[in-house]
Amino acid sequence: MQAAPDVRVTAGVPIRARGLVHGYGRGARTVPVLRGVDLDIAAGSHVALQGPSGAGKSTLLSLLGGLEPPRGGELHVGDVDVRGLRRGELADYRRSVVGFVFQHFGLVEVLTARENLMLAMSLSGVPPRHRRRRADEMLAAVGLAHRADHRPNQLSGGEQQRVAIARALSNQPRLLLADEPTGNLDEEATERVLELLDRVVVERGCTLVVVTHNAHVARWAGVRLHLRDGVVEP
Amino acid sequence: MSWRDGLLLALRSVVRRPARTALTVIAVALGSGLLVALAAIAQVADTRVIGELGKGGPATAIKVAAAAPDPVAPDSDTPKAGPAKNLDDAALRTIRRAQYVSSALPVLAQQVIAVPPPRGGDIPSFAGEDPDRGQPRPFDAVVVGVDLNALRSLPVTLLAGRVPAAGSLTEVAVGLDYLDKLHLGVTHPEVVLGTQVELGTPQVVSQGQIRVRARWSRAVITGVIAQQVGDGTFFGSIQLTRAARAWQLGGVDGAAFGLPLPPTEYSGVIVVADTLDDVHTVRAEITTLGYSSSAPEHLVATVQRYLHVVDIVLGSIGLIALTIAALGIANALLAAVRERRREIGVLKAIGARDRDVLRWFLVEALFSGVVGGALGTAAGLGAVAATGAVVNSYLVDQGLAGVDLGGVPFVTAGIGVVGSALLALLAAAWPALRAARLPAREAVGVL
Repeated sequence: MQAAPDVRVTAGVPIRARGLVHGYGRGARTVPVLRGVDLDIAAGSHVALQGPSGAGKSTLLSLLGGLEPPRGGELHVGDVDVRGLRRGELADYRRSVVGFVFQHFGLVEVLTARENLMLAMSLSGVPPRHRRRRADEMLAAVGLAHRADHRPNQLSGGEQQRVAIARALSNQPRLLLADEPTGNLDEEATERVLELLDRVVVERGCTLVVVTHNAHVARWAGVRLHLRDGVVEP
Repeated sequence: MSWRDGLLLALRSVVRRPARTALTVIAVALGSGLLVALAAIAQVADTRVIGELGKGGPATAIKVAAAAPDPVAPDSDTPKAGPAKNLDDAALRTIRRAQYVSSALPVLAQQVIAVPPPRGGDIPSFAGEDPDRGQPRPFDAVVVGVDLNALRSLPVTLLAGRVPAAGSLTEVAVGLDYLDKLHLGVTHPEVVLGTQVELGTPQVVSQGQIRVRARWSRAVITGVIAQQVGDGTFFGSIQLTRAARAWQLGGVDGAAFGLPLPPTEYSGVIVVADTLDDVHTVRAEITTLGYSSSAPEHLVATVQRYLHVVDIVLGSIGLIALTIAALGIANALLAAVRERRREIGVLKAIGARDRDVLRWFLVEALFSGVVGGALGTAAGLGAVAATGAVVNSYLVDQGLAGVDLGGVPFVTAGIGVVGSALLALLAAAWPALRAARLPAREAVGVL
């Protein structure tokens, strides 16, 4: 991996992709998903990624987040060449650069809200003596200090997503990726989550890429990109 | 991920599916319990039983006859005795001084005339009565006398009742042939217990005009035994047979009509070797001293070989049980991996490395292994204790030394728990590796 980013710096990272190609399967059975994506995202900007189902939004998000390396093209996130990262380096990249928010929240069911945050901090190498205090601060920041000892199944959908956002921010990421973050929420919860994202992302200055079908969420983002048939529409 | 976090995650995960966890733990417990029980029993059979016997028990008893050794095959288990040879206290002392000899117990067999009790009374029926006079029919028999204080060193098995009291002149035990003579079935030997038998020791008074008289005594039958000390229907104290011998020696030799004077002070000696391995050496020494000896050393070797076969069989059963337990663990973990694909993906998305996921699943398997192993080991040792109590009770009933199980076999218990833990790790290796290699994209569920 190239120069590891300093996790204490919360400034956003620019993203640059050229001819990004990806697909699933091997040989003749390969299903192409991204067919040459070109994009430039400025550091600290808020981007909504839209497009019909199967257009490649989640795949592009997973490439940006280092969930898998792209099969072709170039992808630079800050000074990191994502395509050149090996398996272990991708894990380092995810841990130190990226924060994820999922539509399904992705909280570990058997852990409390606080423990979910502490686990993420443990993976990021935060010293044990700081984890609890920082987890409580993050939960307080998302307005859930009183729910710290509750497990996900004891929280509402909106609360779970706020915990997930707190967890995504717990390693001070420079790139926050959200896959349909309001897809499972009602209108009121959606507003609270957007308000929270607005506040914490602006506060921390990280780059935000949101995959969404929701027009309201798309309007909320400053930049909108449309993906169709594996390419970004002009 | 730290070990602490891995442990927390694993423990919370195992309680998430309590039924599955319980079944996995039970499978491990059954496997380890069975293996521990079988191992402990096999250990007892091998090291304790043979070991105890080998440390001077009846299996190491060597029968020395008052005869010269068989010139053809002195090493066979049951050699033919050569010409008679005097076996007295001096010879006994020489044998006792020989290397690897633990003890040497003299045996004195004495010829008697036995008169069973009349029909009726305590014995329901027997066919030994004289049809002409309606009285019991006497028969020639031999009383084998030994030092009854040293019974545990002698090849004697009690079938019913008890052995006569040490030094008693009025108590005897009988062999199964006594029941045959009385036409009683051997299935209920207890019917003769407490009955009396009259024993007459013959004395030839003169040889010219044959005159024989007998010294009569009554003895209570206290037990029924099987013994390999000497050929005789009755078994009693050496004091009893010494008194009979002294009486016979008070007369003259009646060899011409089948009543010779006892040729030697003792009719035989039971020599107990220090260990089972010394039996052969001691027999060779006895042969050098000029006496014929016999011992079931080949039989014991055969028994040891069979015990080894039993070890193999028991071990195989235990391994099969453990294999089933291992498959149970692997199956449970594979199901857990299938169930948690997205959770694993999310963990990777937030920075977990392959080894973090590996640790999570291995710790979870380790939990099943340790808990199941501990429960199984405890249950297995409980089964061993129960088996030991039954075996002890049987041996004590037989008048033999009980088998000491030696308390809790900590080494076996430790192997049970540690082995189960290792087995769990081994069984979990493949599912855990599968989990660790799952791609992080499972988090977003793309294709």
